[in-house]
Amino acid sequence: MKNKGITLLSLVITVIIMIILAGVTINLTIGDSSIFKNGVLAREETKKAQIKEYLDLKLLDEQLSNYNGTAEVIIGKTRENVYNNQDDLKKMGNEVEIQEAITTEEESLFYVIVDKYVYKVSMDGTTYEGEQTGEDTELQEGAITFGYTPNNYTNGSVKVKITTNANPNEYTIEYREQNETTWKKYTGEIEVSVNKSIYARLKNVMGATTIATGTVNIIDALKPNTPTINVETTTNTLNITASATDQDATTDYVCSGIAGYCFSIDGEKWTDYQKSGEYTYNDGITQGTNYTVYVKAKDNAGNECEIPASKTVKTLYDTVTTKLKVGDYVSYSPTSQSYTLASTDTGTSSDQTFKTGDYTGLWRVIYNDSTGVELISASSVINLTMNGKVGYNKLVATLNTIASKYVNTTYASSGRSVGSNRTSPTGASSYYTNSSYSYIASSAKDMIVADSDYKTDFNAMTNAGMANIGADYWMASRYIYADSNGAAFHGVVVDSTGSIINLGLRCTHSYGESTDHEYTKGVRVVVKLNNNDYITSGSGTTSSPYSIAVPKN
Amino acid sequence: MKKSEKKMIAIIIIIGVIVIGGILVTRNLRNKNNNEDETNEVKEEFVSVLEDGTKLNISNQLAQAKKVNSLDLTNFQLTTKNNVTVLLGTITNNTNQTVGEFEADVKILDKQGNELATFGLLVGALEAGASTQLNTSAPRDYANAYDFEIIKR
Repeated sequence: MKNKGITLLSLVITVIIMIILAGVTINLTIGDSSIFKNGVLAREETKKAQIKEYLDLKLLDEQLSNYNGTAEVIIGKTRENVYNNQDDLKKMGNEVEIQEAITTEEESLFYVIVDKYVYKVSMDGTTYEGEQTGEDTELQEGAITFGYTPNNYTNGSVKVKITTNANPNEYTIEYREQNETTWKKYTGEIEVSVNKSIYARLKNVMGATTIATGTVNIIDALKPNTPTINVETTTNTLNITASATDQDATTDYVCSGIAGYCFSIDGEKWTDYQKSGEYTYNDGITQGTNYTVYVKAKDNAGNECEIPASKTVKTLYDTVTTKLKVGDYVSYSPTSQSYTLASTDTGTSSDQTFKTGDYTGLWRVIYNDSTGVELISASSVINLTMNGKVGYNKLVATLNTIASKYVNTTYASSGRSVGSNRTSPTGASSYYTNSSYSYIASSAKDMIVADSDYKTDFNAMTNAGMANIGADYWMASRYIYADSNGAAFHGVVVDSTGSIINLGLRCTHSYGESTDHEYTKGVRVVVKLNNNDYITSGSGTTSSPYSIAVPKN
Repeated sequence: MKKSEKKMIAIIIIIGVIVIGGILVTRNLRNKNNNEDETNEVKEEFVSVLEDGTKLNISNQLAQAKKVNSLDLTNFQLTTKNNVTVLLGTITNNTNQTVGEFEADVKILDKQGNELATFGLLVGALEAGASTQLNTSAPRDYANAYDFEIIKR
């Protein structure tokens, strides 16, 4: 018979796993970190936050209503406001107690107790002080009590007041300072200018009784050390990180610790002190400019470092690669020169002479990509006449020759005619002859169909709305049409509507007849900027084109 | 071993891994919560606030008896009010001879053992079997102290 039950081993393991699972479940349900206990804690924390926010709002109300009032007045009115509206607090807790306002030499405050949680309300806001212990707590009392003015870190002297709860008719107070041996009668506040202990004792006719010690350990007259400083720059921000240490304690002075930092550019208009050593200047900071940043540190006793930290940095430049977008207008001037195109390069009857300075129009960004930043003249730089078989064969070379004249090597590395290959513009230089298509340059011999290079530029210009300038201009490309009767050799042109057209520069016919044609069209030039050219001004519009410059070190 | 038994063991092992993983995750979460709690409450961990705003130190470590120069120190009470911290206690000479006057430093420590402040202390001559009050104070709030140590100068 086949056994279908489980083995004893399997049973034991299963039971153990069940026990473990039960343990985990119980722990998650009623353990220290159980969901129930976490829920209670979360509820308590929410209640504390609500009460604190409520008290802060009441304080703010009175601060706004009594903006000229003293701390005592504002705290008094806040306490009155809270007291009169204590039903609000009773919605957050069961037992609410609002204690009387207290004003000491240092501050005015009052305590609010909600379900044994104590909140202190002072001019600095509301702070949660902790959980109240039972009302029956009885404290020991010192027979002698010391008071200190001030009672926090200071770089000045401290006045020590000694009082006693003993009968003044029976006891007198005597004191001596640390390292002294003679007891003196206490007659009034003792002023100390370095940290030390004051010993006090009560004396009656029977002799000295109890002794108490008051220690002044809050005087710090030592200046913080000069901060260390680091400044990171962008084109328009200075990000400062500073860190300082306070001077070590000595026998006379305590180390009160660094309280905060203040900052300045060129030593002017110091900021207020702030706790953090990090600060950013982002207003009025210009690119490529030297700034000297200063940082001072202050300790908790109010001492400032003797020598501020300083560091001179230069902001980064907005380069053409980071700033320019396709279509932006740029002010760019080619090197001024005159140049002549020989008739042997154009097919015309005479040479053509031009001046680069005759073009004073703007330029626009046609590309900003991994290949680089290229500008195209916003309109034609010249009007060029090309004719016949020479014109056809030399079209690309002549256009690129013209483009090279518009390179200002201060800002640009190369130039090409619009429509030529972006990375390696080429032209025709020698003639190709064969029986079918004589007069075709060797570099043009394969262009039986349209050279497609020009389409890259044409498409980019079309997308950026730059193809149509309202006047015809040459593209650096050629086109042959051929059939059984003959062939037509075209130059590629963008017409005044922004459309591609082909103009026949030379036509041949099967019976040997040939005709040359001459056309005058505009030339648009593309120049490639150097990547580290930077923008000095402008916003890229026609009325405010970007101006470019070469970085100064 | 039968095929069904192998399958059963495989299932049990998978369940076991899941359970152990769950336990580990739970423990890690609990430790993380505890650490966060400690961070949030470190400021007031050893403080209880009385009705009049006095901060009373409730550290058990601080309350433990101490000894200096053969004298027994007990019954400590560390409070802060109006930014002045007072340490009171009882000094008892349980030796059989008088202990002469001496000065000491009371180092107030936080939970990590860092020194928060040093209070001076003058202990007057104390006859055998006699007691007197320990009373030393200083400005600033040290109510959240964890312990103190007392060292004869």
